[in-house]
Amino acid sequence: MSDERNGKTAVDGDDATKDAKLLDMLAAALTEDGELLPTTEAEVAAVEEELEAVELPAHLRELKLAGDERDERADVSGLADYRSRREERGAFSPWSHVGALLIGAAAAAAVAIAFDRTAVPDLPVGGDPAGVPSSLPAPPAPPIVAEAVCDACCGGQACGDAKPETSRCGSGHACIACDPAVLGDSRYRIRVGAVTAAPLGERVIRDYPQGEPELCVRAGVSKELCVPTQVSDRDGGRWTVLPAVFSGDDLSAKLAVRLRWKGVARESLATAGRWTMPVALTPRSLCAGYTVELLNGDKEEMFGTLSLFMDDAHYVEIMRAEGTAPLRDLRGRMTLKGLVALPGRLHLRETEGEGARRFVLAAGPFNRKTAEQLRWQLLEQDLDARATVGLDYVGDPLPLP
Amino acid sequence: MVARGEAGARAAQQAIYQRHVRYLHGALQKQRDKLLQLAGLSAEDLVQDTFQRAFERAASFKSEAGLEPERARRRTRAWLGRIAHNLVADSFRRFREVSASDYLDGFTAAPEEEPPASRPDLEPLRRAFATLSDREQDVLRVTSLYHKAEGNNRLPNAVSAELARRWGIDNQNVRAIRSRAVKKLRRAMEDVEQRETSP
Repeated sequence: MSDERNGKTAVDGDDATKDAKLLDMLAAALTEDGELLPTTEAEVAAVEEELEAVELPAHLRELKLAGDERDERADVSGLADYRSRREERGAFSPWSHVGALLIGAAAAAAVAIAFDRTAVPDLPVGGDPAGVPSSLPAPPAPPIVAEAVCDACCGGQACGDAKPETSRCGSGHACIACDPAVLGDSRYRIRVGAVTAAPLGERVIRDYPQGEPELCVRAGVSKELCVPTQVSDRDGGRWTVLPAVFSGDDLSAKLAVRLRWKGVARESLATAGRWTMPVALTPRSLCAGYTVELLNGDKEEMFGTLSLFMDDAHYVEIMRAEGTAPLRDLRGRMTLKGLVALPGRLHLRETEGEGARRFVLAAGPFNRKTAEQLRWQLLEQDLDARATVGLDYVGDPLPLP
Repeated sequence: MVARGEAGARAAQQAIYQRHVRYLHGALQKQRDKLLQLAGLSAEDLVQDTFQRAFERAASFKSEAGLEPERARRRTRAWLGRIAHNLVADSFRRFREVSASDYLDGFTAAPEEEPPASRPDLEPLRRAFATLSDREQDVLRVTSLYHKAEGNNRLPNAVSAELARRWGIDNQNVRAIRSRAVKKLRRAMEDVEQRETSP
């Protein structure tokens, strides 16, 4: 849109001029249609004949000003009372305390107005603080379609073009793009399994018990992130998702995993095994994940192995609310198609947000491109969809059927 | 004039009120279902508030001798329209960021020669506007309100934030909706221009 070398250019200026012209025309159209008030003599001339015939409600037939009203129900002691009673009715109440001076100072000029010998003033008319807006009526609830298509894909259960070795993924990926640019542009969460100890690892654990084991992960130039883990002599155990997201670029640069003993002061003794390699973000690696072989010391004996997956990290937040009921209501209006219709892809999450931001109806996770496509699809249906990587999500998701 | 006393001044105010209230109420009733609803205002209250404000500020009027009655009447109504327009605009500013005087200084008197009230070139724009979603239309209504008053192409931050707060959405989303709606209108007008200029 604009020439990067020159900053804001004539192109940007042209756009601003076009927008101004468009808004001039829109304001004119809305004024002609009665949606904006006539504010010039010509605009008034176009409509006043029609408007003169309007029937007035009873309470507007006589002029009432601040200080006039004598309410039987309450003692009107001043404008504050008058204003607060107006506000109780839920109406905008800009009555100024200056109104108390109305009869005096403004009287002379008011008489001038009576003869319509006035020019439009070029001095400002003061405004008072805005009143409390009334709540808007709920708009009609149109049906919503949320569809995420798995196309240009090379892996995953939802991918019709996947080769046999990438059609069913141990990682759980449902749709893996072919395009390396799409894969590299996304962010990922690292999910690791428990460490299965090799003979060396079993010996160390049995004979030289150390502190609690931690698994530490670093990608590219990111900070090392450590989480508690389990070391077992058999496969299985729980999965741990690292509480961070990593960019495709960082993973491609280097992924380093080490098992360390928490609380061991000497760093050379703290590390039980390590593994480092640049990750190839391919359909295969995303589908099957990695078997990480943790090698110990200079001799590089195998301490143990673990499984590592790189999960999609992009969510589309459809709505946040203080409770789950409105989110469930919204879900009830939605038709899900494609990837969004897969089990668990549409879910409720609790977040660290408070009040109206505590719970979220979200779809995902997806790669970044799919998330953005879904976000725009929902925006076009007037939903306030946002893309996120869910850093403030708490606990496990609650899938919605 | 002050010597005429309160009774005389009040009679003058009643006369002005009676002369223009039907017109103003009619003009505001037309906005009732859209902009006023968006602003959370009632047409009746706005009528009263407009006259209240008009009489408060009447001391700042300059009388123009020799103006024919019809023009004088329309000029007064245009002025009342501006007061009401500003009151509606004020309602979107939850917290007053700038003084009312700065805001209203930009709202200058129109020149005497005006283009014709009805413009056929607005029809394609109306059709395009009608195709926008309800929320896109609402955002553009408010944008037009401020554009007419301040000449801004964009919504003031305070107004955008207030709309976001009322709708329970992000300020960013309000701006995205506005940008999207303007692009749609622009595209529609460009299509019309292209059809008109192509052989």
